[in-house]
Amino acid sequence: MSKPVLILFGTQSGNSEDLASQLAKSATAHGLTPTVLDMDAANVEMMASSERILIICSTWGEGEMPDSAEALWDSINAEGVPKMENTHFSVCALGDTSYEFYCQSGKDWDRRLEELGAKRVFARQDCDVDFDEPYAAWAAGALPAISSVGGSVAEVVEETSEELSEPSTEESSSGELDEIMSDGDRKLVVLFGSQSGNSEDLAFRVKSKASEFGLNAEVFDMEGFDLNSLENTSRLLIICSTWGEGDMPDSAEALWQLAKSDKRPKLSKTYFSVCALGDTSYEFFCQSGKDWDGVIEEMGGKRIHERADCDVDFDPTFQKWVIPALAGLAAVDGNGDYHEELVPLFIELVENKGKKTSTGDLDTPVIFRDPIELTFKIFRYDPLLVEKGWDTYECKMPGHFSLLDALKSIKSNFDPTLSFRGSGPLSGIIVNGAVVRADRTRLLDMVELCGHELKIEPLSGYEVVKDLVISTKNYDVHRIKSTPWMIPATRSGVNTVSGTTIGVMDASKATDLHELGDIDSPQLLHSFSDTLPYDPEYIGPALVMHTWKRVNDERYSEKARQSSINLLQKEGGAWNESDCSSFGRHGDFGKKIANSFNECRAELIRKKGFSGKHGRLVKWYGLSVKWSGKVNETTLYRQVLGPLGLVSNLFSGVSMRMMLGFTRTGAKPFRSIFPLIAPPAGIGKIPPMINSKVESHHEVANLFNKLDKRF
Amino acid sequence: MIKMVKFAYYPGNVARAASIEVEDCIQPLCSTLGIELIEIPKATSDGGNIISQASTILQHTLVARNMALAEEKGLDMITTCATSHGIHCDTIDAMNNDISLKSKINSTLSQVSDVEFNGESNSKHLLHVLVEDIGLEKIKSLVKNPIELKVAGYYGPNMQKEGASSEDNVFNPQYLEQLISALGGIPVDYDLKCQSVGAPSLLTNQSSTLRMTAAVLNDAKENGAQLMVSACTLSHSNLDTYQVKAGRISGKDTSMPVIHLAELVAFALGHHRDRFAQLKTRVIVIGS
Repeated sequence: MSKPVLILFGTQSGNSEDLASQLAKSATAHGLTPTVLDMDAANVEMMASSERILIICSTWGEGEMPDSAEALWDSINAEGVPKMENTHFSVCALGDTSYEFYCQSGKDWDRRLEELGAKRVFARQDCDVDFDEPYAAWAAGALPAISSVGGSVAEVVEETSEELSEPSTEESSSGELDEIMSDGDRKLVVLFGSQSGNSEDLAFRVKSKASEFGLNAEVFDMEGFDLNSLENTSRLLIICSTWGEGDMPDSAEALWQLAKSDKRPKLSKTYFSVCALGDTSYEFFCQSGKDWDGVIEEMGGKRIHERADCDVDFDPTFQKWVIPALAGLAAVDGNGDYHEELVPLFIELVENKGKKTSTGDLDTPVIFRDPIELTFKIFRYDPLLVEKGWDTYECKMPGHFSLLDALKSIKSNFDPTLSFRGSGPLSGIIVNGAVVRADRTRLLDMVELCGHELKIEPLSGYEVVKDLVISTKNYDVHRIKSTPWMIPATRSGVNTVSGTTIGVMDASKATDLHELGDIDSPQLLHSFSDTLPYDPEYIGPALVMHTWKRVNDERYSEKARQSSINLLQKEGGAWNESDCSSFGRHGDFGKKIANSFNECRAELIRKKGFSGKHGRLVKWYGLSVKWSGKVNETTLYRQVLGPLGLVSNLFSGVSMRMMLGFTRTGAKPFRSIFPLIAPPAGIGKIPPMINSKVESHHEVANLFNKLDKRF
Repeated sequence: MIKMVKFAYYPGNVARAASIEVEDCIQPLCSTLGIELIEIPKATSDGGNIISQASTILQHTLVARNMALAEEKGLDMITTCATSHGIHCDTIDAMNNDISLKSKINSTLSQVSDVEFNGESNSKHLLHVLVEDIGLEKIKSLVKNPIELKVAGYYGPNMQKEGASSEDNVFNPQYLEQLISALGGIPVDYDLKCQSVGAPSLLTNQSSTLRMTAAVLNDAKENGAQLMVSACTLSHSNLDTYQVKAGRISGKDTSMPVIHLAELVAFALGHHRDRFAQLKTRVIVIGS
């Protein structure tokens, strides 16, 4: 039996909307019937009458709701708002850790729904700018949890399985896990002390993994951390490296001094485990981690899992430690009580999730490829010293490694200061001119494409923060200005046999629309343009394409469509792309984008006529070809630039350079008398004012008349 | 005796107009290398990726008509312009991948010109013909005036895409560098050799176009180039005629002689010795 779920999104830049759309697709696989709504289009009554709600909401500015969520937020905080005791929910919050009020809007929704009596079925997930992984982890947990509302998992099994009579232990244990995962506080503090960045990386990997256990992990650097804040913390993981002769990393030193002092707090409510990083070639191997392990116990903490001491190749030991450590902490309930019997169930739950990817219908084995000799030339930028340059690394790596694996390997083996983005759309880089996602591109394929020397740069068109890390701020600002969210039109719909009302759209139009929107990463497409780095006004190809898609979407309101046309037409819009042929470098997808640009510009000309410089260029180019079969550059210069433009050429050196002879290699400057009769720009080697006609010119005129009478 | 190879010749939109020096060079160099150029007097402009901004099918039909005229003569088409070559390849690709588009274009062509394009003729850029059909060894053996300058090759974006770059690498092309070496020059590698200089928008987005132009020239110059050779006649105009203006707008050093590929080859093969001498003088006096 299908179960309705209301998916609400509050968006400012469009990310929440994208995720809501992805979530709806995944929801059907869990027997859910999703209705996706912008918060702008939802109301409190609708929410109160929904048994299942999933919320994805971004945070704007200083912890504010997105504009589209503001009205609903005000309504749900008004007096007399209905109770929501029959509602079950989970929240995915989008934010940016560089802001003070990180994910505040999502936190607000999470808290308010709980205040109104709604039941949280899965812990809130807070996502940073690189939201792909945490979102996926949240969706993987929230969808089965919300699906089990209104009938146990056994009910779903009833329809598909023969094993009905006795609920299996798996089902009952799943119930226990669901109960503890939705029971109050699920906060986990992950504290790292890092010298080279490895501990920090591992801390964030822990955070990502923690969501699979229903834990809401928050990662903190030991530097500047308030030790007293741990007093009421029931779950703590510490990851700390050792430096020099058993010393703490610089960033951990101050906290360590406090932890040894009389001023340290009691941690009697805290369950913990430690992962120590070190190097066996040093005498005091993993000493810092050992010290933390001891001191937390002295402070009253209860060790939930034995410390892991990792050598330079830390991954295998870390992997062995992280699952049982997280399972142990996940078995601590909202009241701080530890349920040891749940630890193996948690481990089983997570391991089964992992197995599903390789034992289901789609088998995804790792395909091994032989190591390849490679030279990496990597762009480096140090924002503190404001220095840039290139580093070269020669190494041998397995062909099946992704570019991201390769960068990680270089970071751990050669240079721990190398910075790059993890997986997701923002992992994009440029390799020998090709714009690719580092997490999805194999070394083997890059070698086939570009050879054994890989020159790696950050995406173009963005500000570089450090090395290969870029800031998408400008892109985001342009995106917000383009109002990318759906502003729906009032339109007719039909009722399906199941009683759901759906909109109607011609199948071919729907296909075209899907093709237009089939863009894996707008951030990468943004980098396809050769123009963008030289034109700060230009919104870029990704936003032009998104806006063009909206223009083609009949579900979009007429007023909003008109506004999109205006955006594309005006300065910064579709005409700012100086050369669409540069998209063609990026394969079939690039060619598709170039074609869409042409369609978009043709529509702008249809709507606005041959107005402005761009319109005049197209009109007079076409007319001069129709009239003679050839382009007449003199006509183009005169019609597009106008008299003032031509005068400016006289004083800018352009006309002089023509007069002296194009390329100045001695070719004759004048080929006929015509340019001298009326020289607008027609001096030097600019061709005659009047073109001679190609043979059988009438065929050309007929062709134009047949295909486009505007010329 | 030199074995002749025959091509239908498409000069592009500007080789017989603003870039007449290309036309001055292509004829003698082809004669030396045994390339016979067959004129197509009925051929028109390919639309320059400008007409496609109003009507894609109109540009495709203009190109298909030119290709059909070459096909009628049983020849592949050769051009000196990377933009034209890229446009030809786009139309051939579009017609091969969309049967209804192909049928619509051919229906129009049969009505207005009594021809159809069946996809048997291909487009080739002069650079690809020189490297693949003539061969670098043969060219090397015919060099009379070695270039002996540090030369940066400019490809532009139009022929650096799948289906238009022939056997050369799309992302890291080497044909120009190999040819420069064969002609006795010293190839200079630089990052922006495939970056667009915004040629289609020179008259409309002049500010960004000139910044793009300046970036390419400056990058080549910073990597030690004394001379730039362009494989595209259209981009050549930005790189040369607008060089001073580009330098002024961007604040970058852009001063460098820029010639077309056809000129470089013709000079090395011993044609237009006076022009080559002037070019060398200019490299020494201004381009350094």
